[in-house]
Formats: sequence, C-alpha cells, structure tokens
Amino acid sequence: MSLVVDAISKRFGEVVALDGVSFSVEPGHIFGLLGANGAGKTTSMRIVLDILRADSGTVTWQGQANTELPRRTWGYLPEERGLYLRMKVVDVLSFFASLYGVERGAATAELEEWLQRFRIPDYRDRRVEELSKGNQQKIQFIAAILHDPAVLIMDEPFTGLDPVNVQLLKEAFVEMRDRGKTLIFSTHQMETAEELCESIAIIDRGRVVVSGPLKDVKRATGRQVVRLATDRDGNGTEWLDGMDGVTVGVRREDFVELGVPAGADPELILRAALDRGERVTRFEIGEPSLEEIFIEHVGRPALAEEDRHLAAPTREAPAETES
Amino acid sequence: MQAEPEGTSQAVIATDGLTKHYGNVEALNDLTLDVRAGEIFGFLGPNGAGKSTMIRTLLGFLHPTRGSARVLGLDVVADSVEIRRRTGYLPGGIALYDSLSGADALEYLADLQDRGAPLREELCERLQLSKAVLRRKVRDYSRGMRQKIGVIQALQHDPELAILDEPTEGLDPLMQHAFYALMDDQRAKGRTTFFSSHVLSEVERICDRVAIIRSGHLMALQNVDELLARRKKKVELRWRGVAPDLAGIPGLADIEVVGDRMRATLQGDVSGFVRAIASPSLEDLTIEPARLEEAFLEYYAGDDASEEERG
Amino acid sequence: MSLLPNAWHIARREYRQRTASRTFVIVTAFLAVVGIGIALLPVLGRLITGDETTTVAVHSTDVQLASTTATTMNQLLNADGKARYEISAADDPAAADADVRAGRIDGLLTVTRAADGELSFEALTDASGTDQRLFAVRQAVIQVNIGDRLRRAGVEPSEAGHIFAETPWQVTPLDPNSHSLEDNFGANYILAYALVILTFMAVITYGQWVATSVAEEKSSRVMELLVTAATPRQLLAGKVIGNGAAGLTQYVVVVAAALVGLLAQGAVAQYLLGDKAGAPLEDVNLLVLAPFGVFFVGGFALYSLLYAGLGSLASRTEDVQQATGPMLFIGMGGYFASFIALSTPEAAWVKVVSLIPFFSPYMLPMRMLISSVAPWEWAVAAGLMVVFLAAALWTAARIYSAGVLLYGQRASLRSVWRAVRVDR
Repeated sequence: MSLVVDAISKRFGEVVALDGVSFSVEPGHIFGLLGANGAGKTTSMRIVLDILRADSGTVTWQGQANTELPRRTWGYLPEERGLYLRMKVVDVLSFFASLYGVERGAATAELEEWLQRFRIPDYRDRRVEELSKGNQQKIQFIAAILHDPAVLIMDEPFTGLDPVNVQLLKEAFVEMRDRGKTLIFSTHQMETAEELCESIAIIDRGRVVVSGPLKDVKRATGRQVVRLATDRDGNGTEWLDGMDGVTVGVRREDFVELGVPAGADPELILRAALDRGERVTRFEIGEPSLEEIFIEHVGRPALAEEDRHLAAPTREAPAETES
Repeated sequence: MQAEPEGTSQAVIATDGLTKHYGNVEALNDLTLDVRAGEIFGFLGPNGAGKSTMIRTLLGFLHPTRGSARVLGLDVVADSVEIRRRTGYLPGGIALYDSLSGADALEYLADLQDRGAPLREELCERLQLSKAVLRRKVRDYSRGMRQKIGVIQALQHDPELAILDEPTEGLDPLMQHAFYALMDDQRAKGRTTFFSSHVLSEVERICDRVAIIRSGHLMALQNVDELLARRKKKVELRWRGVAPDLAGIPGLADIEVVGDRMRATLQGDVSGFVRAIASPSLEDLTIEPARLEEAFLEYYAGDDASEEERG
Repeated sequence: MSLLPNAWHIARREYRQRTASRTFVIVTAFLAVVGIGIALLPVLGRLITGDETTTVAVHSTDVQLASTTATTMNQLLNADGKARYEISAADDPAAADADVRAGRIDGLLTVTRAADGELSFEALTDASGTDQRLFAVRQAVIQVNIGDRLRRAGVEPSEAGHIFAETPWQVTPLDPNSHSLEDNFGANYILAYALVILTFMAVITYGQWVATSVAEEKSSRVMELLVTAATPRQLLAGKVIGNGAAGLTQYVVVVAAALVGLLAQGAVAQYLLGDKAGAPLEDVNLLVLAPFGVFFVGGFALYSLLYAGLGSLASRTEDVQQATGPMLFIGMGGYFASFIALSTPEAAWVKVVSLIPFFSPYMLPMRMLISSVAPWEWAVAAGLMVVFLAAALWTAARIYSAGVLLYGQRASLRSVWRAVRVDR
C-alpha cells in the first residue's frame, strides 16, 4: 500500500497554490518532487505532513488518512534549516526524539551510530552553533529519522552541501530505502534526482504535469538521445545537420546532443562518424535527461511566472509557504 | 598545478603565497593562483575549506597574514575601496533589507556602487523578474527571488570582475539555465567571473578553469577540459550470438561480463575500441564518461570532518 | 492527541534552557541582591544618617521666656525617652545665627512677645518643608504657645495638663471584616502596594519571555520541525509551563530574598543600631499570601497564553514588542486601576473590576489587605478565571497554529482576526 495524494487543492487568499495535485509513491521507493520555485512543492509536503490542511482532496498512507495517522509516521527535513543553536547536539536530537516518544537511551545509541556514519562522532557534545552549515544539516537529517519514521519527507536536502557531504547524504538515502523506508524529496539538481529516484512528479503552477516511474517518464518522450564528442571538441559537426531523422540539440562545449526518434537506430550516427574519419571520444545512447524533460514541461514564456505571483496580494500569501 | 602563469599584468586576480591565520587556525595557507581576464574561474572546496576567507581577503574585508594579492592590478590591502568599486560581489546566503522593495534594494546598492546600473533592465528580464515583482517588498520574496536580486545587484553595473559565492543556490533548473547563459555572455564580453559552487555539474558546464582548495591549501588548479579529457569512460555493450573479442584493446580495463552484457572502463581514444568491437551482432553500445564528480572528489576527499570547522 | 507527555518534554526543555543561561543566573542574583537591599533600605538609611541629635537654639530678648520654652520643648520632643532633640536657650543671637549658617546647630528659634502678650516664633534652618523634624518642632511650638495662652488666661498649670490629655475616639466599621481601620493598616497598605507592582512586573516580564521564545523558534526555523512533532496545544502548554516555571523560579528567589530582608530588618537594626525599630512584617499575617498565590498563578497563565499566541504572529524577535502590544496595554490598565483603587477600595467600580480575570490577580489581594473581600466574590473571580483560561487556551492555540508558519507578515488586528477565524 502506497502513499496516495489524491487531488489536493489549496488556496492562500486569492492565490491558488495547489490545483488538484495527485501522485502516488510506492513503499520503499525514493520519490522526487520537482518543480520551479513557487510551483507548490513545499505546500504539498506540508499538506502530506498535516501541518497545513488542504481545501479539498485527501492524502492516505497504507489506506489510512493522514489526519488519522500518528505523527511519528513522518520524518521531515524542512527547507529552512533550524535547530536550537545553543543546545548540545546530543540534547537537541534527544529532545526531538522524545517528542516522538523515543526513550533517551535508545535515541542516544541510534544517534551515535549516525554521527559515526556522517563522520562527525566528536560533535556529540558540542553546541549546535559551533558546527558548520553542512554539519548542522546532517544533524537536522538525523533529527528527522531518529524516531524511525515510515516515510521521510525532505525539502531541498542537498542545497548548500559540498560534494563530499552530498555523497554521504545520498548513501544515507539509499540506506534508508534499503531498510524499507519511503523517501520523498525535492531538489533543483536534476542530476541528483536522476541518480536517486525510482519515480518522480514534476509540479508546475500547482499542477502535476508529469509523474510516474522515471523510466516511463523518459520513455514517454518518444525519443532517444545520442551524445557525441569527437576530438575536435564540438567543432566541425555541421555534417550532422544533414542526417535524416536526426535533430541536433544542444551544442555544448565538449559534445553535441542529438535527438533520434524512438524507432531509429542511433548507431547509424556512430558509423557515419567513423566513416568520415572522425576520432570519436564519446558516444552515448541514452534517454533524454531529466533536465530536458523538466524544461520541456515547465519551460514557459518569460514573465509568465510573475503574472501568477502578481495575483498574490502581498499580505495574503507568505512567499515562504512555497519553495 | 597545470596553470601556465601568464604575465601578472594580464591577470585579473593574482595571489602570491596568500596566507591568513585566525589565531592558531590556518584558514588560508600559501595560496598562489591567477585568474585571467575573460575567463570563468571555478573556486571549489568542501564547506569551511577557506573559500569565504579567500573571497573576503580579495575584497579587502580581511587582511592577509602573509603573502599578497592583486585584484584588477590593485593591491588588496592598499586599494580595497577601489577594488570593491570596480567589482560585483554576491555574498553567499545574501541578506537584504526586508522592508525595501526589490527595485529599491537594487537602486540603493547601485547608488552605493556609484556606477549606475546599465544592465539592470536586461538582467531582470533574463532572470524573469518583472516590474510587478520588483515593486513588492523583499520580505515577501521566495528564496529563489532573493537570489535573483543578489545576482542582479552583483552584475547590474557591468563590473570588470564579478565574484559570485554560490550564485545558483536556490535557483530552479529554469533559472539555472538562464544564469548559465548569462555567464556565457559575460565571457563573450570579456568580463571575468570568479565563481564558487558546490554543484560540480555546473562547474563542468560553465567554468574554464578550476581551483580546488581544502583546509586552506590549494589542491588543484586545472583546465576543466583537461580534467574532462583525463576521465576514464564507462563502456557498456550488449550483443547477439558470438561475443566480440575484447582481448588486446588498448585502455580497456575492469572487464565484467554477465550473460550477453559487458561492462568495462576505457581510457584514451574511443575510435580504436569502437572499430575493434564493431560487428553485426552488436545490439547496444554506450560509452559514457565517468562523472566529473569522481575526478573532483579525489581532491575533496578529506581525512576528517574536523577540517570543516574552519573558515 | 493528549497534552502529555509532549507538553512536559517541551516544558522541561524550555525550563532548562532558560534557567541554565548565564543571563538568567546573573539577573536573578542581581535582582535578589536588589530585593534584599530595598528591604533593608530603612535600616541602611538610618545607619548612614546615624542617630544624630537635632540641636536647636532658642533665643528671646526675654531670657526667662527662652529658657522655659527650651525646657518645655525638650520635654515634649523627647517624650519617647530617646533624647533625639537638644533644645537650649541661647544668649547671643548673632553667634547662634552664625552656628546655624555654619551647620554647627540645626536651627535657631526666635521667640518674640508682642505688646498684646501673644507669642510669635521664627525659625532659621536649612531643613526642607517636608522634614519630619521641622514638623515635630512646630507641633512642640504650638503646644508651648497654647500653654502660654492658658497661663495668661489664668488657668493653673495643673489643670493645663488635663486639657492636653488624649481624646477618646473610636470608629465602628460598617463591614466587620474590613482591615481598613486596624492598627496594622499601614503595613498592609505597603504590602498591597508591593503586591500590585510585583504582579504587574511578573506578568509583563515573563509573558514577554514566552512571546520571545515563540518568536525565536519561528525566526530560527526550528518551528517547522516542532509542528511536525507536536500539536500546537502541546507546544503552547509546554512553553507557558516551562517559561512560567522559569519565571516563577526567578520571582520566588527575588521575593524570598526581599522577605528575608524584611524579616531580618529588626535583627539587622538591633545589630547595627542597637534598637529594634521598624520590623514591618511583624505586624502582617503572611497567610494572606495564600489566595494571592492562587490568583497570581492563574493570572500569570492567562497572560502567558495570550502572549504566546500573539508572539507567534511575529516573524522576528524584533517584532515581538509590536505584536504583544495589546497585552502590555491591558496589563498597564490593571496596574493604574489598582493605584486609583488603593485610595478608594470600597468604590463600586473597584469591586466590579477586581473580579475580572485580567485584573483580579492585582486587585483582589489588594482589596483583601486594605478592605475586605466577600466569599462569593472570591468564588465569582475564581470561576471567571477558569472560564477565561479555557478561552485563552483555545484562542491562543488557534492564533498559534495559524501564526507559526506565517512568515513575513506584520502583526495587525486583522491578521490576528484572520488567524483565529481560518482553519489552518
């Protein structure tokens, strides 16, 4: 039984933040909630967590309405990070665990394991304010999972982390998934979503524009992508423009991206290149990147976004209710 | 260290043995690097590696303990006021006056810069900040909108040099694209950008050269193209019937065969490999460069997390 | 979801954080010292000024008149046997005048008898009009003058003593329970005064703590984590109890220090000055503090709840003052009303206002001390307090659950109203 978000809508005064958003997440999956700033990701998360109430629509987890579920079902990492800065790491974490009914002893054992995993075991008795931004973020992640929630909801968990910490957090995600947890997160880094997510939903202006398993979403575009690089660094690739059925996409610094219809054989391109005597340094057949799909669905004429925001009377709609 | 130093006169930023200590903590240690006119220079490192200290030293907010640095040919200690006047700066995690409107905030900062704001309108348009949004108070802005204001204020007076600390943080993919296009134009116009980021894919995409620092030490200073070229590639192929002969192909390693699939890594020229395996039975072939991340992470890999407390 | 145990976890954290802070410890210690100091002020004052004797020279062209005046005044002024006044006749007015100006003596009293036999008195001194000694001297002079008139009228000195004897006078109060006419009225009056000030300071200061702590969590964004872990009512109850307990801790320490100071006043005076004058609380029945305690806690909770609710409308700690303005206004209202009521405790409006929960914590104990409170009034006030507390909990929880996730808004009456009205 999965997490089912069914046609939730939410208005803030005159502004429609969500307009019939639906998606479902399989248990034990990692799910990416993608969208431009202000699309409605944070509002959706808050409604799932029952911090906000939807005007209409329902959220169920394993068949039970979210309003009926105990709070410890969820673990939450908000976009805006906040901890009690003057408390010791161990005290902050035990405090949040205690609110979910976890005994201090059990919480301490678990949190020490996580500090170890995040390579910060020495920080157990330091005050939160002494920690760097990245380490505070790791503490916040631990705070979200100490009570062993079934569903983890994380708003931009990777923002501001350096690559080393991003790697540690990604590993933690996979670890949680392997323990049977369900993870939902939002991100602006499409590569990260692509790497981690089994399925995704892209939200645009309060509506889901595409959702489902990542593979299906990619397949649904009906085309393949070939990334080709020669040792001429993207120069002298004009011959590609003449090829039948091949659309030349982005010409990047070091490679060219080509679109091929789903039925065609992309290897024709490779053979053509070799026949021309090009020295191929990269040849990749793939599906369109999530980034392309995102831009395809969400890309819009300039200034359209502001028209929507314009409808928001200043004091009615706090900007931060959406990411 | 592969950077071939050009004449210091041409360098927009040139540091020589730059060192900064806070008490016993060595935030920067003997940093020598140069940023050339017209390039986009990526400045990378783990949280707390000393990036902010470096940027503040370049702008003259901090004075070096040892060594020296010149920005736009000016000394960072003696001429910091002039440096700041001619530079655009986006601090990390920018804070703005809540009670000003976006337009007023930009106007106010332009007045302080004393150079007008010839590019403001164009930038607002490209980053999709409409006049209606600009009229609203900063307090009502989302994180992405604030970041846009931050980017615009750093570039609106068309500075010769822009120092941007994590400029894409909080920007959604559409705005990231708009920002990358902006960077390409900056380069085309001959403007110089000094740029810090945690997102390696964007560094790969827009930077000409990168410096990686860790614990205040310079770990690497390289052309991005070189970094890219030296990567190993991952190859994956599937065939029907007879397996292709993989023996003796130069550069091929880590071969792993499962049924009708093979995975391996490849270093060097792809053409030889492709010719060697080309057979009618070939069903599918993927040659993909290893992620740049792996190349970077070698330099990042710190021994311990305590280093993070610096800077 | 039940209020406990989360309200308890939150209260415990708030209490520990608050009381463990260095500011709390320093401020509490400082206030305790100030409390003891104020309690001992009368004794310390006397220690500094000492038990000086007041010396007055009496001059008259009639030497006999000067000496009898001095003798009579000595008797009158030193009737308590403490010999604080030294009145002597002076022969040389110029020398005495110089002594006054040089500060060697405190005053020069010149007595003149007019042609019709009436005495007139003229005092030269640098004492101010409110100086108690000048007042005592004047009282003595009036008696001297009346004695002189009686003598001239032919009344024998033996009869004169009877004329000056005390007049029997008794008042029967309409309300047999009223304290307003008892001997210890003065002490009760001072205590009532003190309770009004202390209660006002407590509800405003500690209410502000609660509001600030709510706003801090909002500005540091801990709030988002808290609202997923606990319900608004749990959070609210925990904050009010935790901060309230911390406030009460400070309050009790300071008041206890002041009480110890007051109780020790006699002993300290004995030790330092050799007499036991002025041990004010010996006259007061401390049992009256019990009902005060009950209403204090009730009022405290009422104010704190509303402070917490309003505090949740502020996005930053700087905005707390503005958001909680209405509470300060109500608190000040009760404070000033109490001061007016101190002089007219039996007025009808005082009786009515003193039953209202926002004011009863000040005004009921005050009325009890200087007037009287009927049992039914206690009952009504207590009932109203319970009703108001329930209403405040409901309203504050409503404002709070709506307010905690609203950022960037100015607190206004409109936003409060909207917060109460809308369902999240």
